Amino acid sequence: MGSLLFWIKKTDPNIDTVDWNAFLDVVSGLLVVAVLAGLALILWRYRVAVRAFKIRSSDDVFRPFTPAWSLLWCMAAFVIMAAFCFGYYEARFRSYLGSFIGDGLALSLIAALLAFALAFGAIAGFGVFTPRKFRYRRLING
Amino acid sequence: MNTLICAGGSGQKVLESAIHLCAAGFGPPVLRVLAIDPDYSNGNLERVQKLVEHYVKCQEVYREHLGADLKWFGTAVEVLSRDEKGSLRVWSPVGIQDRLRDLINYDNLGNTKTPPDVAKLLFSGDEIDLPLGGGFRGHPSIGAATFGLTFLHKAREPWSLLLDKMSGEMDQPTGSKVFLAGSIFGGTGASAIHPLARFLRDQFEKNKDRLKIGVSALVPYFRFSPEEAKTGKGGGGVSAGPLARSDNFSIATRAALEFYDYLMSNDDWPFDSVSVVGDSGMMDVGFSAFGASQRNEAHFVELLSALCAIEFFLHPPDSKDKKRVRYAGPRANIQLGDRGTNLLDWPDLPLSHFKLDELRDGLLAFWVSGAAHLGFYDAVVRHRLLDVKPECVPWYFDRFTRKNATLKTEEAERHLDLITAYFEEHFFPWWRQVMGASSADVRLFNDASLEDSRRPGHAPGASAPRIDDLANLDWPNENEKRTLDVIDRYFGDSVEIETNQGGSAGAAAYLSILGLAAHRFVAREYKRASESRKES
Repeated sequence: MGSLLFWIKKTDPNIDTVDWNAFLDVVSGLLVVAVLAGLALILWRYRVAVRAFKIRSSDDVFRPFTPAWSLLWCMAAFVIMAAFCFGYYEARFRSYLGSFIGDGLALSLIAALLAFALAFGAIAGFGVFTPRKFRYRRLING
Repeated sequence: MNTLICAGGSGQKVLESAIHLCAAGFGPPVLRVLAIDPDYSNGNLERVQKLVEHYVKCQEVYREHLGADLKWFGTAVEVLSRDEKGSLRVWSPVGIQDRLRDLINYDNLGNTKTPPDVAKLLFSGDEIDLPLGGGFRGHPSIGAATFGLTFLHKAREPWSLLLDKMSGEMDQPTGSKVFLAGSIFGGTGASAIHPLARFLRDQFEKNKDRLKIGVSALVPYFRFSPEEAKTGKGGGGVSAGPLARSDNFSIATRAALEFYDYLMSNDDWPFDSVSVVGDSGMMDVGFSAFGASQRNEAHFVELLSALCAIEFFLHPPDSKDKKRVRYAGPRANIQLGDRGTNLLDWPDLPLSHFKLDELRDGLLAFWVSGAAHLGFYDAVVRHRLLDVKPECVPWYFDRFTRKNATLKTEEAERHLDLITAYFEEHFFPWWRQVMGASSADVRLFNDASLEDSRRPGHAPGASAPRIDDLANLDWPNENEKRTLDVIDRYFGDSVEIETNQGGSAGAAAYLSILGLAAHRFVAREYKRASESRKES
């Protein structure tokens, strides 16, 4: 699975290749976990927001409905990924030169963007998450 | 083809019930109506006239425009006797100024073979001189004498029109069905039923068996104070003369039933189906001799009678049932209602063909739609933002915005006003009276949910269910079901309706959305109640 992250070069040439590949395997696994965690958080918050929007009068029908902020929970994937990357790298390769900050930030950003994109697709595309009563509403300022 | 002939004040109220059943989709495809009452200004009649006029307007807009799944306003009501405006006009065998003396040519009887003493034997002096423009005042002997002369009117409308249509139908295998409704304890109904049935039977020589005549004979279900009757309240100051007395109702009923028994045993039975309906609880009503002040509240007995009529039209009896008289009364094996009176629950409805669950759920869906329209959706479709943010109402977006149509036209708003007024001024006030009958504990719907309309600008007397009772409209009232969240659930149901279902355009598309959503709503929200009812 680490081959997914083939584009990440060793931060220090002295790091053993087998060690580095094992590290990338763990990081890529965590990338999947972080994306799924971010996705779950977004969908849960979105569902809470949708359920909280009750129509109890005619004015409620036309009340603005702005569930888009739920997508900001993709930042949870960013935070999870960043915290793990730096912590795990430090724990494993502390004695080596080089820094994982750049690659770690890139991976965290990828995790957040993937969670965002998948959640957006789920919200926009599947009736499971968006009740039909909101199907024609815009996600922003709907 | 079906003809409903309603005689007298109670008959008009049966017509009122029948029209509401037709509005809720239970009526036959076509229904001709004829109202008979010598009391032209009867208050009961005035209410029915307004209802029929309103129904006819609704039928023009909504009938056959609601899609295949919804039959609301699906009965084409044809008014046989109508005024210049097309409204229901009552027919009477007598003129306003007529007296029995004139009708039987009493003053000239001496010149005929009939001695005047025969008339004196049959009628009192008061009866002979009673002005008949105010009805027969509970004296069927006067009425029977006048209805026996109906053949004199057969060349004039409405009889010429009716007989013409019927003769065409008698050539068809389906024949013609006529249902007569009226009380047999009062004046007009009691005196009209048999003479009119006999008159109709005598009009056709060919295919006589194709004429089916049904009757709903109402037996006493209300009473008024004898003291009030003595003072002759009501009737616009017309001379008192003989008045109806409710303490005579039982005697009159017995006499009428004995007469029908005599007809049956002598093979002079012109009826194919007779239903006798009444309520021993006896609703107290204010006395009114006749006129506009005779305005009794609706009663469930009239609803039962209307159900008999509709079942007769939809499922005419076999000739082997010809001499079968059906009757309905309270069940014997149940406790009395909360008020110590008779109890009327769904199983008490004397249905012979309708399935009880279908009737109940169909009426419930009509209730839910009316309540949702008055309490919520009417304001939505008139909202200033409807065409600005149509995406907020998905069914509107699909059926109107996408087609560059709108409900904000003058015509559409006029059509919406029709259903608003129907539910608020006719349907729910009528149910409120039926449910509130003091003589019985009526457990059909939740009367606690019905209250004065809260809609701004409503007409006097308008009534509507509480919108937070949308899932609490059946009996009994359950406070925990009272919540505004039901609006959200109903709104959810309305957006689930597929675009190929229901009406395609205008207010009819809107009403069909209300109805189809109501059926989904009833199936889900009232399922528990329905199942527990079955278990019990």
